[in-house]
Amino acid sequence: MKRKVLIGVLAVVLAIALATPLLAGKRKHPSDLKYPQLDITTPEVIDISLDNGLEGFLIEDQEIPVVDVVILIKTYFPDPEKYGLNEMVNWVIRNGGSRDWPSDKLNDELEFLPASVEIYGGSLNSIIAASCMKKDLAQVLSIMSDLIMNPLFPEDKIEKKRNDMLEEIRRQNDQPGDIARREFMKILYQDHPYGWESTTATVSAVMRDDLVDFHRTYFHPNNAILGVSGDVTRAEIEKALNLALSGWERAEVDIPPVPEVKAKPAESYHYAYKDINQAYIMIGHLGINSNNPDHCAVNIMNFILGGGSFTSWITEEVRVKKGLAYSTGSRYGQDAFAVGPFYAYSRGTKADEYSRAINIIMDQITRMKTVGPTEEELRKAVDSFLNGQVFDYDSKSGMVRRLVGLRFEGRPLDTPEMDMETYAKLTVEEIRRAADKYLLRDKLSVLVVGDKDQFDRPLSDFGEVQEIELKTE
Amino acid sequence: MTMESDRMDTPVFREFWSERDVVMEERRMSENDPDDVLDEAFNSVAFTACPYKWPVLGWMSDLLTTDRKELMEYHRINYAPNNATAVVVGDVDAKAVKKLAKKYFESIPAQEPPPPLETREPEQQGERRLVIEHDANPKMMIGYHKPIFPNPEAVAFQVLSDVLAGGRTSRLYKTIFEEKQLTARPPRVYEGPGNRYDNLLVIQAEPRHPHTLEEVEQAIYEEIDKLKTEPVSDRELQRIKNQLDARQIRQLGSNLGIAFTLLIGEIFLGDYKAMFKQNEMIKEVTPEEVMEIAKKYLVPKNRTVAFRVQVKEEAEEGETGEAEEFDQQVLRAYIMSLPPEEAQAVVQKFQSMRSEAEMKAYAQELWKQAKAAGFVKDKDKE
Repeated sequence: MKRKVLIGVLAVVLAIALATPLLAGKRKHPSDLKYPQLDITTPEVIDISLDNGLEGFLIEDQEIPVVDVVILIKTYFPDPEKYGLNEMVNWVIRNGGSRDWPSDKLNDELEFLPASVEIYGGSLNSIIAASCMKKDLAQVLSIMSDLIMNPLFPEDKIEKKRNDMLEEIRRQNDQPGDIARREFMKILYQDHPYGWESTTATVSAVMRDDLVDFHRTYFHPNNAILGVSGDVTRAEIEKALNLALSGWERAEVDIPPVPEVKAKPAESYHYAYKDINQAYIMIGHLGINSNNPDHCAVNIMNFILGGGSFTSWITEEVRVKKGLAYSTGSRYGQDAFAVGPFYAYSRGTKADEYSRAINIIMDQITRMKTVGPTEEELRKAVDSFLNGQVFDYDSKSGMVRRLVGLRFEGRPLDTPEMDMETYAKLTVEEIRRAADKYLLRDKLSVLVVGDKDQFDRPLSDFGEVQEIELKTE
Repeated sequence: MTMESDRMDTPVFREFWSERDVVMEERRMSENDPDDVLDEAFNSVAFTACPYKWPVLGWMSDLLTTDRKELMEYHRINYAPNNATAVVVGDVDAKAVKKLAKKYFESIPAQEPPPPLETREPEQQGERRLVIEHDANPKMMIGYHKPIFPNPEAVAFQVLSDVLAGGRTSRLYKTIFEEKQLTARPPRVYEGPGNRYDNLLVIQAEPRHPHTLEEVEQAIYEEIDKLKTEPVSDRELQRIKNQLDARQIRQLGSNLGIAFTLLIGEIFLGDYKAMFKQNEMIKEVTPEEVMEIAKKYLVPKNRTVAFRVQVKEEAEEGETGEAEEFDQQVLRAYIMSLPPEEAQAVVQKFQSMRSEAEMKAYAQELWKQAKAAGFVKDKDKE
């Protein structure tokens, strides 16, 4: 019954929306404009390989005299009782300096040129990214290479990073949005590494030897992927990198697969207290792997549900019509190694109507499973989604990073282009089937962060509530 | 252009009331965001006359009293073609763009120009300090009033802020973050909150526990004082100039970067080429000029200092548990028994504290010290 009413309202809104341009009368409605077919020409991707076994890609770009180099090194989760190690390694390599480039000299040289060499990453990779003017390429590559091969891991820098991480943990509950995101991942993944976090104990447990071992285990050319873009030819970059990285030795690296997620989606309700005058809501369950053959249908389904900003149902219902929250939508994350999370969110939700926001979001999920989008909604979503892809091609360094990512995930390099063809052919029926299979309406976990004294009704009206005690250690 | 011109020409403001509700939630979000809370309070104290004292969203009472009519009038005056600047960068033909612009925008009538802002911020007559209590860890902001472009002094400020916080070789990074390790993130220095009227040089920092806001503040002043007495080194200056060139080249590598460079020049500096000119002017800045503006502007009389201190809800029973009853008389006696400088330092620390919770915590600490020193027991025996 409720569903029918909703659709009725939607039809009226659509009718008004379609009628207004007639009232204005001066301009064509944007949807009536004719455009030539969007033609994306992809630049040539050149394979490069070095004497030491490091392989990757180059996209040339002579527009400005700049060269970008990324090297992705495959890594793995640390022991759970030393979680935080990977972050510490990346920071200490960059900020602790190397044999020929101790910290102060390194920073002075890079900032004077100027150029940048940064190291960042997550649990499964460390990414070294260098960027410089073409004239400084040899110098910057030699600095980058020394950091990769001969990091010093000075004790004082390790302690500095440890103290800074402990302070971040102390501050981790300052922002309500951070609490919601972090706690929800823990709810979904439970004891899987994707749900782990740094604590005072784990950060304190990391020793210098752990950093040295980590570097010795993973930092080898045969365990890395190279990406280069900018004002440089294949011959130039291969020559320069062969010289700079000639001492980088291969070694056998054995990286285990990411464990399967054992947690099973199940209906659950969670509450964390924070002294704020709004509610931060997360609703969802575990999602799919990115090599799932239905991933395109799932992406578009989510685009219509809550991923497509103002054209999506959740934004339309929660924000535009009811004015309950500023930031609302959904995300169907896909992960190449395990499964990604699905979640709808309503950040900064009116506290005394928070239960309405929960109900509306759940109704939209039901609507997607039972009614699904109209043909017109689907076509609009696909067009909008595909047209948006053009911006994935406007930066060569961005394209190279994407290729490095695909290679790292073990997916075909032409996945985005192949997916575009799949998207264009999607049918309403496929979307409905994807919703039916991949939206688990009766297995949703719900997390609310806020002050329950300000809520319109208790969260326990929905089901049994587990209270989360927020920690700052 | 169809859509943008339609929006400028004949907006309907559908869903006004629900969207106003949304903006109220946006407003509440900034009340729940500790950084926004501090920032808003800081600006509202640093400025007394200039509209920079208002947050962009306005206050809740402004939102409650805004109606659709007011909105339409605001739009009519401000979102008019005579008050707008457009930049197009990309894979387009300039002639075709001009033709389209004429077709879509030329018929939109100009409006009387928005009234110019006549109010000017008066010179500050003494340091302003404020404290914000929030359920978040401590943070501080320090701001000094300063002129904007085309005042030549504004250009020297760009150099000065890079000397202080432009990268890992900058002074605040090296002393406060790296050497003294007073913060867990490098302090930030920027100009704000806008670029249209005389604004502020702002310094932001978050102390790393157990360091205090006062310690960080003192350390920042030490670095600022150095700017007044020692000229900036040639290498620092050259680094900043090199970075400026590189930044400009990179900006030209992206359409958006080019568009912003031209647009900011045009609307804030009155000439689309102004950013390039400004870069040339920055290259001319001398160590003496940096020293001059430091001496002239970075003085206590011209500054606003905001502290955010953590206030937690009263802990529920058993949660902290450790708070021990102490005898105020005994504690006072203990403090008086300390060497005079130490006793004075304790008293000063109490005086500098902004919340009762902070004072209680410090009193607890002192009580433990008093016990450890055997002071409490001795006193009991007497």
